[in-house]
Amino acid sequence: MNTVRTIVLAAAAGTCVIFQVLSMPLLSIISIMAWLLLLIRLDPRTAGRMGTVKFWIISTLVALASGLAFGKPDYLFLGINISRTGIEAGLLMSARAIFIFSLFSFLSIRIGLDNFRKAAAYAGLEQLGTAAAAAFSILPFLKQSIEAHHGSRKKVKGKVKKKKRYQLGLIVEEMAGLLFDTASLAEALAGKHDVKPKIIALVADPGEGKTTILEQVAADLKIHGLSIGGIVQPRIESTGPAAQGYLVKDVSNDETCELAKSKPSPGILELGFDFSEHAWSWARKKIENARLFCDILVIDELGLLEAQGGGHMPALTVKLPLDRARIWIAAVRSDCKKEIEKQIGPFNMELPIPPKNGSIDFLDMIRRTIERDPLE
Amino acid sequence: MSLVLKESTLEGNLETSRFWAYAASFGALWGSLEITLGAFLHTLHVPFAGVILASAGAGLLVAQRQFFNRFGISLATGIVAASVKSISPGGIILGPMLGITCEALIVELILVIGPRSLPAAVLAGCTAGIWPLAQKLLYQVIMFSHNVIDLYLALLRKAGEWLGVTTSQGWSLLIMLIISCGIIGSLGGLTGWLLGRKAILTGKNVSQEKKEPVV
Repeated sequence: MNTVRTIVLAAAAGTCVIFQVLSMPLLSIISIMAWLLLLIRLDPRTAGRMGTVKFWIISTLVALASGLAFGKPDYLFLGINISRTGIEAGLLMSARAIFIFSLFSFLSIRIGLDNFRKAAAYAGLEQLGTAAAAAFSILPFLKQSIEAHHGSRKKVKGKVKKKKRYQLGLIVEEMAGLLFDTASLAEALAGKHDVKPKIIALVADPGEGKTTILEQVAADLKIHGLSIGGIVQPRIESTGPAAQGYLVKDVSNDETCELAKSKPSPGILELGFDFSEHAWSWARKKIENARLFCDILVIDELGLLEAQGGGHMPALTVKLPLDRARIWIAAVRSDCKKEIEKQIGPFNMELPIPPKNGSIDFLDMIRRTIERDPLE
Repeated sequence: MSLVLKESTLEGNLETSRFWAYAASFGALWGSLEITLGAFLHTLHVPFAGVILASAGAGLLVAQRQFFNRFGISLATGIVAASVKSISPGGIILGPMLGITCEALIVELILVIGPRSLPAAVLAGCTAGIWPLAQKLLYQVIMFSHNVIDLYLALLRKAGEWLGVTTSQGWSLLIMLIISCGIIGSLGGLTGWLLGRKAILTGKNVSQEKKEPVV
């Protein structure tokens, strides 16, 4: 707003105040009307915010009711005996309210994060301004947390459909979970939880059964009460030896999305699949959610794309306000191991694919590793 | 000596950053609750919408104290929540922003007597629940001047005459209204206390009160 406008509005506001203080109802009302017209002309945003019906009804009622409640009735209005002095007092009160309401409206528009930070800094409370800015930045993560808890509730709801008495218990769990996540966010903001997760890697060549084992691991750990999130990439089977494509599957709820379809005739330098952008972003969201809200992240098929920084890699390397998943179980292609380690850090434990009848031992190994290094 | 000084400074810094981090995260939660639930309740014209919101806010502050108990944290959280409220679309947000800050101040003052105790939590919720009534009256006084109280009293007297309600009955109605608001608020405080404890017991206690070793 330029200086001339500000001066004009300030002068009009000052006039309103003077007539209010001098208790001159007629001039007060005229000055308020002039002020409103100027506001509509010079600051339409403020005027726009004043369109609250409730306020105008209350103001009108106050003006009329004062005629009934104050002074001696000396005037007939719509068949009702009212007092002139009462009406005048009411009009004065309403005029004052309209003026203050417009000031509130003016301020309401101008209170934003930037101005809040400036005001806090001016008062010597820079950290308060920083906290407010941090609050704005974590709103999307709180939304994700609410969605994650609500999602789990919907899932559990399906299981206990017949036992409605547990419904309240589920809501309580959901709310307690949300509070816990909020506290965890606070700890992450304070930098207390800035600890790198432990990475357990299943390193093997394509087709050796990494995905099948990861699915078994996820199912087994879920049974043991740990919250598991992340994705696996099962093949879309075809009649021939090659995969027809790949799905991406959320291990927490078995939701799937088609990630890749085989190309009829791939070129020499290109991969033999058409990838879906939607599936990549879907998977990215699932991985980030798992990092934020689960104990263990399961991530499948870290291969050529990830070694070049693509595929699922951005979801693993992006800085989140909180990394609650303290254990990552990743399936890694053996020829890409070094490149993957460069990007997500060295593996804390490397496990070979077990022989066909040794899968139970393998699961026990992972479980023991987690028990040895508790998630606290 | 210098090492001790360094350690205490580091500890102080960590505690300060935790203080503001808790104010930011719980303030964000309260602010978003005010925007979403507030809009929902006001759009549906649910009676006692302000009381319900105040009670939820008090519950949140009480729950926060179960995680992180420092003097001033409730007020700081309230101010952050008020700043988050500023993104609320449309309407006059100055009143609700001041309201949130006042509720936080009330809870802060009451939790001084027992930051993690159940009676203090219930009392804080109760007082915060009653506050919206006082705030409404205060808002009217600011807008229409103190004459508005005389006007309301005169109108109530006239209404009482027409309806045959005596002054004592009128006062009884007012007290019942205040008690109802207090009960809603107390439930908020109680729920916050229970949920905060549950969140700590069932989840992992992220806000360990024991001092972390300084590295």
